[in-house]
Amino acid sequence: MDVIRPGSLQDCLRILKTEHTIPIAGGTDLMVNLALNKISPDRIIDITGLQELKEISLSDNFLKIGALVTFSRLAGKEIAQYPCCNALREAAEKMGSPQIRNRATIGGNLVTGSSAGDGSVAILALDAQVELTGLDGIRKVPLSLFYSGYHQTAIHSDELLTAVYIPIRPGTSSFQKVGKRNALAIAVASLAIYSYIRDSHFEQIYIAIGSVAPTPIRAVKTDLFLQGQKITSGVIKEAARIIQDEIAPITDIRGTADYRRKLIANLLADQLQQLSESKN
Amino acid sequence: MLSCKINGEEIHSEIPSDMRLIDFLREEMNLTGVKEGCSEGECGACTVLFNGDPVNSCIMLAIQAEGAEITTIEGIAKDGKLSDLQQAFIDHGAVQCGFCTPGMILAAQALLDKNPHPAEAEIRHAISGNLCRCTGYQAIVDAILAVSQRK
Ligand SMILES: Cc1cc2nc3c(=O)[nH]c(=O)nc-3n(C[C@H](O)[C@H](O)[C@H](O)COP(=O)(O)OP(=O)(O)OC[C@H]3O[C@@H](n4cnc5c(N)ncnc54)[C@H](O)[C@@H]3O)c2cc1C
Ligand code: FES
Ligand code: FES
Repeated sequence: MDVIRPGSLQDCLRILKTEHTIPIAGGTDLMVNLALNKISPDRIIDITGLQELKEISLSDNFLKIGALVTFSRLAGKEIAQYPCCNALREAAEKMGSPQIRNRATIGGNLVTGSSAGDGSVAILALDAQVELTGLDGIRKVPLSLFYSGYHQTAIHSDELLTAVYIPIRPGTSSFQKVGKRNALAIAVASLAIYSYIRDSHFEQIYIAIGSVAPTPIRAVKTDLFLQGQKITSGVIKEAARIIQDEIAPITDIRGTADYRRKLIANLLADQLQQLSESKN
Repeated sequence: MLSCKINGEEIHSEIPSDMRLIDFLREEMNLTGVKEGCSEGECGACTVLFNGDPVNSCIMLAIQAEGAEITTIEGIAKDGKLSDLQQAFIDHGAVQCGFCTPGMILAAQALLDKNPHPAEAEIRHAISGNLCRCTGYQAIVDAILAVSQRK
């Protein structure tokens, strides 16, 4: 196996055209999969030298986060100034361990496509788009259309995920996950909410859930129910009931389907309760 | 060809392109204070500082250290004198078998470099990627707290 470290994005994309070639970013998923012989590429392209993929910038009310931005940075000041992106910062703070956060990138988290991906779940609630770059050009895909199946996404093997675009809007977002312990825990279930409350009613709400389906998913039925509602204890109860019906989690070593359903209902109720206390 | 700085020294080395950073440090540079426990990013025994930040060298490629500054436990003592943290670990009985100690001290050093007076919760957060099977952590936290309160 050969590892190359090209100096430019164009060179990376050209080499990515060759067969059995994959990119490495932080390596926190890839190196583990290599060691377990789950993958055996002929060639690996180290993209971590590409400075242009490490930028965070704001233009036209979109926050552009380069694919190589690490979770340590996502947990820091650069994201903290945007309340609507709170969910991403909270997810980043709780992800992995300090060592993992210093290497793990948002691009790697999205492309790995794990349903338990903390960054992926948080960003899904933020109505974001990913930028996929190939030699033939750039395409933007809404994150809600990015995941296609268990560890499968819309990215082509000769493309790089170059950035994520998050709309900066009024409103706030939050993220919670439940794992077996605080550090280094894969989520048993996770839930992120973006919402904008006007005159005590939900003007807009997007809920994303992790670890209850083959990919991170949106809770569209629950969103629809909450849209336009005022947060009362009755509404919270009803939303918690709807979301349990909406999802079909599985039983695995981390938890049973029934436990996951209740967890999600509780995470939703808890975050709605917090919203009601902060806004009304 | 890999060019980087290790414990303050400029290194240029011809290495297999698929070599892990931990193997480069241990086998080529003889820096055996870098320990290998789990080999998958869980235990922190292989922690080194990468441009000042703790990372797991078992899940990095050596080639990814191009142009970087790496610090291992061997680079922490200065002029034959143990660092404050190293001495505090000894004084507080924070070392038993010692396998976790290099990674633990580097993770703690990275914290103190950025935040010289952390609260206990911040200390526990900073070493949450380092497992210790012997001490129960309290002696380690005490040692780090002692150094942070001294300055
Ligand atoms: C000990 C440990 C704990 C962990 N804890 C968590 C956790 O709590 N929460 C969580 O969500 N994850 C966790 N992870 C998983 C992992 O750290 C994340 O998924 C991380 O974000 C992956 O990013 P990376 O840069 O390391 O990706 P890499 O390992 O470099 O790459 C992952 C995959 O994405 C591809 N890829 C990477 N970047 C790009 C790009 N820009 N364009 C196209 N393809 C790309 C690679 O080819 C590879 O297939 C953990 C991993 C470990 C080892
Ligand atoms: S050996 Fe690297 S984290 Fe365990
Ligand atoms: S002292 Fe033995 S593992 Fe920590």
